[in-house]
Amino acid sequence: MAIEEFWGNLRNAISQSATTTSWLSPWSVDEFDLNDFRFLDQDQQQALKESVEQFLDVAHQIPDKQSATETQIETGRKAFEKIVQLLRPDRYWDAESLRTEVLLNRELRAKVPGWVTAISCETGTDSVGDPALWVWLDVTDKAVDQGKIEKNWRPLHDAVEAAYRNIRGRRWLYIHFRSPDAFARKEGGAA
Amino acid sequence: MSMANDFLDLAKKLVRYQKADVLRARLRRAISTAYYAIFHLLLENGSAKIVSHPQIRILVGRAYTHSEMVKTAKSFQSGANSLPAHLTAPFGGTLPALPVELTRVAKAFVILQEARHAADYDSSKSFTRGDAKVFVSHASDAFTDWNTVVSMPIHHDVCELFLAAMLLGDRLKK
Repeated sequence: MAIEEFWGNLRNAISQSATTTSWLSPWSVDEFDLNDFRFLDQDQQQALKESVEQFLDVAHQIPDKQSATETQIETGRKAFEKIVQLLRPDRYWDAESLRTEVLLNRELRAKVPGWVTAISCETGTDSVGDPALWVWLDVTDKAVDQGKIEKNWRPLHDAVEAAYRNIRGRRWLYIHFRSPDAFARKEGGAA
Repeated sequence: MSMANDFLDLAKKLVRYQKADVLRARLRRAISTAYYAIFHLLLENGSAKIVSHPQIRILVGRAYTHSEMVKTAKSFQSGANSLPAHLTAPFGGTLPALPVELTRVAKAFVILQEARHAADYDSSKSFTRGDAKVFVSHASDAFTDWNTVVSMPIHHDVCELFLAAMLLGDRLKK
């Protein structure tokens, strides 16, 4: 799929960006298609479109086998960083993780209690090799202290599963609760 | 008391224990033990369907494999329409809707096996007590669901099918 090729190109460019200027090439955003990112908010789509165009403008100016000027590098980097900021390919292994996370958050925003502070997604394969999605529900320390996870995990699981069905997700779904501060500071700290 | 019930009780104790010593390891053991509780619940029930001699049951129990069991559980979790044809063939190709208790048992098995894999092997994952309690609840609820569904004569055949598929998996095709 073109979107996955684009994602791979972008991730590859990120890996090069610390040591060389080879990221400043049209190849870094090759296979970009705005239609693949219609799940983003309108303003984010617009910013993404403009950033890719700006990046390509600079990248096309650089003749083959010649170095980019400082100005070109600076302009290209700004556009590139904006693309990375919008899509976070450094955080998401694939575009599906981003898409699922955005859509699930949209579906669940009004359905989860306030003590669920974030919903994150990660695609991969489970321990038997089937396509899987891990959904992490970040919860507050207070919710952990008050036992809200134990009381409310079932309706939350149901809500996440229903939302994933609504967005036509087809992976095996594994839902976790996460409260690292509560774990490290409170429970792990005092004997 | 069965091994399955022992494991479930142990998982509950591990996750409730209040002192903070070796907490991370203990929560991982709680999750792993919760999985083994449901694993033994199903293999004990399955073995009992085949033999009555206690020692031979233990031998039969060893024939269950985690991979075949989770594959079967995934098929049953998704409902009657997702079952492979060789499993519905004994029912004339169509199986009535699966009892919800059975699909929940299957789902709990899938969830717990994956969690157990992370708890036992993936040091990059961390688990909170709340997270571990949820997994133990999955196991506890699965016991309740299992006891409910096997006590209903109308679901006798589909429970036997589930247990046979858990043991034999794709070998039932042959």
